[in-house]
Amino acid sequence: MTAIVTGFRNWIMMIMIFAGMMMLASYPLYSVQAILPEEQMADPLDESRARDLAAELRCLVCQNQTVDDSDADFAITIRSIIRDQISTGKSDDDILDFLRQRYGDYILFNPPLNRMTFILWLAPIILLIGGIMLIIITRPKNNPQSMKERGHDR
Amino acid sequence: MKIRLAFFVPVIIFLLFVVVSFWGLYAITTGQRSTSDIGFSMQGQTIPDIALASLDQHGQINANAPLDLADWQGKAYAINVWASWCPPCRAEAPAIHQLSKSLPVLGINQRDKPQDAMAFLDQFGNPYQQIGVDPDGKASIAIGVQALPETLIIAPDGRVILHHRGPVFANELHGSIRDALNTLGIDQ
Repeated sequence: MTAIVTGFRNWIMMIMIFAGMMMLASYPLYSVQAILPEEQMADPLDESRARDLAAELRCLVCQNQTVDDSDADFAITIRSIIRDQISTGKSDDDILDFLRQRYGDYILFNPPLNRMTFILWLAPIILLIGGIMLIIITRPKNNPQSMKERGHDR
Repeated sequence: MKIRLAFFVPVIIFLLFVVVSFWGLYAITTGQRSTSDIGFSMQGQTIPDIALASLDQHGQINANAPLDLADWQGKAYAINVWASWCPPCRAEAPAIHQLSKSLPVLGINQRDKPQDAMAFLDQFGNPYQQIGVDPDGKASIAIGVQALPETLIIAPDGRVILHHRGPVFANELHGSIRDALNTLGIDQ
């Protein structure tokens, strides 16, 4: 009986290590500079706004790259449009709305919480609560009952 | 017994993970789902006004006689975004010719050299009523283009009846395009 519980705890440990490795693997450890000097805006504040916006956007012709770090024509054009719109006084929301109207929420790397995406947003919380519950349920209890069981096993 | 069942829960979760992953890969490799399908288009929206310098019959870029979508307001028409460097554009050329028999097709030539565009038209024929040039791709983004080729069918009120991403083949001509033309009351 104890062996089974210990085995189960090992399983949970292995899953947690696996999940941790997956998270590490998806974390950008290095960043590639795709922005060319001639693309940059004269005003450093405007330029940093443009960079921040581009980092929020998905390059739609790439495999999971942001508009900020892609060399694809699509990304270069979007970056240029962002800078055009900033220089004509458009707000960040105006620019994001312009792109969402054409490419939908998919172009945003942070999808908004709505009817279509609530499972995506709630899944980590549900998994966390589920994991904590599993650990609590399978934790060996230090009560006389389990002490007796351990004695039997030996 | 209860604990033995609990022991298999991680195994079951793992197997489910494997099945879902394989199903996802299978759907992509068999073409049921495309990684480039963003599930969103301009369909149902109003086409934004764009005006582009035109490419004339002699291969000259002409800013005085622009391709202005505002001029086409009140008429049904199609927009085909293409380039000579785009292989699927070559593949769809016969279907675009077919489409041009049903309604006027406007070409938007993206990031192309005029001489290359003219060579393409010499080889495959010119189905376009008017050709606008989009050297930096910004006009294409303005009308929601993701990747070449794309074809849009516009109603007289400016509404996008059909936005097809990717090449047009017989399948589309006899399917989504025929349906769009029927909506506009045009016989193919």
